[in-house]
Amino acid sequence: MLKRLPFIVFLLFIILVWKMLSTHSAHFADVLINKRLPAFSVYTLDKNELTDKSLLGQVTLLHIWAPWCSVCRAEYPKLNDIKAKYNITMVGIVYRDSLLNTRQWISVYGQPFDQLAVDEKGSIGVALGITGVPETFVIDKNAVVRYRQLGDIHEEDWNEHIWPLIQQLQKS
Amino acid sequence: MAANSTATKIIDINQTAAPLYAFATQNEANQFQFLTHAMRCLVCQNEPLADSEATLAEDFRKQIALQIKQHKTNAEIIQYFTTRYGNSVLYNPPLNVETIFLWVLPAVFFYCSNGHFMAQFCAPKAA
Repeated sequence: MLKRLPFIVFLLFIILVWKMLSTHSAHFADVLINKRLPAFSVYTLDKNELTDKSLLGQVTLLHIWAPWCSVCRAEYPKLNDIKAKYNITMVGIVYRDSLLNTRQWISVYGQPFDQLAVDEKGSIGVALGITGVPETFVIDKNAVVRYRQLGDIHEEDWNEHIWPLIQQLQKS
Repeated sequence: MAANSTATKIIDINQTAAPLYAFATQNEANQFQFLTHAMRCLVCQNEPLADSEATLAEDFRKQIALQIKQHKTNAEIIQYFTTRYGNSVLYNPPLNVETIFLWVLPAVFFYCSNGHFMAQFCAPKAA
């Protein structure tokens, strides 16, 4: 039995590591999942203050993007489609771009957001824990982060994960 | 020689990063240096915040400087970032349930690969 002890210890260790890796991810993208959206404050194009508390009481698709970002530009028609086809509150925050550029962009390409704010200095990015744009969060009625998408939203992500989750959260 | 190198490095750092943020006291500048070397740039290849030119690192530095000016402690500032980005933002992750394997793994592997055989080798042989 003693001779086999190292092998048993090693086997137990491998099982534990596998179990931990399969149930928990230390990746920063998962850090905010099931946690309250961090506090933030930013102003919308209409000069109204938008905070984390503004999102209470509704399920929200919070999208962080920027007109200077090529992936965001390519994704933009999808956001217009989502707003047209689905019943969902969409809030956008423009990261590190000007009010002028944002106004010009939406005048040409449309405005799918119920509220659109501009974070010209990039302070909201860190407050929300983002590492780049685009990023999308599904926020529940208690302002808890339920889903986070790094990069653009693919059709499979929307159909298989995001929309079913939004429907479930809207019913609860 | 080693002490000289370290001193030179600290002076260089103060001459580059800290003046950009214009701290009121040397203690605040030192706190900034400590924090920007304790945290890493998440979108870079093993680069501390202090040295990174990435936009995200710049945002991190601005936030650190702002919080230092608000007289936040190192622990409070680190907690602000780990709440949002996890322990992966730290160069020296704390020892806890999530990171225990990082610390235990080498010892386990050492035991499994060598300890058992060393014990056998050193054990008195039966006549």
